[in-house]
Amino acid sequence: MINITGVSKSFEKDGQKIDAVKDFSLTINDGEFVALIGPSGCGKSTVLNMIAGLLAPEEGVVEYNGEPVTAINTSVGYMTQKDSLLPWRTTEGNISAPLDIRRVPKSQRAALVSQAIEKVRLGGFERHHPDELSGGMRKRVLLARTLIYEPDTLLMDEPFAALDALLKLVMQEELLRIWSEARSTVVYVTHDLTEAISIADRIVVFSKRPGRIVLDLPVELERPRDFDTIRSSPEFLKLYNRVWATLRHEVVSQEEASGEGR
Amino acid sequence: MLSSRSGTAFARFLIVVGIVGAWDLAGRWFIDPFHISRPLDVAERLWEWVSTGEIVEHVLTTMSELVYGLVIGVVLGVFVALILGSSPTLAAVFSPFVTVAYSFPQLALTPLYILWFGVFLMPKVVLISVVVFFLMFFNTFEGVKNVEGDLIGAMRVMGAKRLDVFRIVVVPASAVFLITGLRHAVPFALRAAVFAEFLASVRGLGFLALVSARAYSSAGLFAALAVLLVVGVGLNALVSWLERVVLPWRSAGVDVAAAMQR
Repeated sequence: MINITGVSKSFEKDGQKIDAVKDFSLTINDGEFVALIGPSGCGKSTVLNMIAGLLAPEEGVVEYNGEPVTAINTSVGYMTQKDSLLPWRTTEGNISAPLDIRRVPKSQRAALVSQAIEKVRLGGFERHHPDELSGGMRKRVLLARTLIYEPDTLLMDEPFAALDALLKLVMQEELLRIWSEARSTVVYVTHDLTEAISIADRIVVFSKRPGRIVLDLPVELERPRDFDTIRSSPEFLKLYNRVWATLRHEVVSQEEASGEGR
Repeated sequence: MLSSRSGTAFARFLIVVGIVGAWDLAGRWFIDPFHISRPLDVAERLWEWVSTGEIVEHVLTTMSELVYGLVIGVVLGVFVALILGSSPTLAAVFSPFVTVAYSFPQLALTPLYILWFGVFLMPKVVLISVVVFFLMFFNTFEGVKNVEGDLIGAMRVMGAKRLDVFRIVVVPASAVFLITGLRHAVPFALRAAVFAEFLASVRGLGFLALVSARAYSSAGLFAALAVLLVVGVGLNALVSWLERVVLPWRSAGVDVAAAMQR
């Protein structure tokens, strides 16, 4: 369980103090698939970084399973849109990096790695280097690397944003397929509303900066979800319109606010 | 594919034959061979040097200058860059000095090195080391600062400690900087060696070229330049070989690019 209570965090930009989030609170239950959505720069990534222990809040507290997060949180797996594969390691070598860091004995690594490779369907590319893989395959390697140490919680910050629309769809389905077996908690940051509704159990809409929660809705669509039919279902459209009405307002006022700043 | 490749080789062969032929004809008909010599005279001089073994000490001298200078400059350059690259405080203190020293034409210090270290091996090694040091330093420093940020961040989230980061990211990345830096440094080192030999020396290929020119022997001058050419090409081939051995993933990537074009 993740408990964020009364958290504030600001940044310095061009000598000005900017509040990313202010007096922000959110509770995420175990096994929940939560999508955080909101206008650019509304503090979504800041919240993820605080759960991961990469940033410390100025006020308030972030608790993970009841313990305050004060250092890097090694119970989470974190996947960003950045391609952080080691170019000199093969697919296998990259996926086993976390095992290497966690001092998993070499004898156990091979089996775990081949399981992970099978899970993300990269069979036949074990000995390829990142340079030799396509964009989608590299994402699969990143995903396998994040999943291999079976973190309780997956933090995902627009993991597939760099992919084209079709490939993005494929990767979302892959993620859901893998998640349906692992059932870990997922906190998924996106600014793609269709993506958020398609994959999540719960949608949390952020206001413009400083980020607060303006809408918190359950997504009551049945799993497993079939992307082909789900997106034209009446429940989907109803939810879409409901969230969009709120989100639209925040995006527009964020735009106006940054316009005035210029 | 094969026919076009052998066609390219044949075209190159024709160009070389054309240049040597034109040179020979020019020496016969238009220009006094005193100025440009003749291919056969140059070949004869080369054969004389090789058959008497006279060339060996000159090649060995220049090669020693290059090898010592390159090794010292590369090791120091990479080492200092890694230290400054991983410590922002040290970088802030020292980088203006390095920038000023880099902006200064290093070759202008050659007379000073000769004054200090004499006319033998030492001043050349010092000059080449200094020139190579700065090339390697800037190459590596920029690399350490820019390329590794994302990789190190990703490793830290997986729980990597300082030593893990060093082992998994910094050391392999340094090999990359080392090889790419070497690629830039080799031609500069060769220039510096010849320049220093021109100023003061008793052996070496630059010395041989200078002595031949002073004796009005254009054949000797061209023969010495031909050997310098072979040394330069040889060193480049050595770096390419080193790259294939140390960074196999790089050449693998290149092969795939070529395969995709086929």
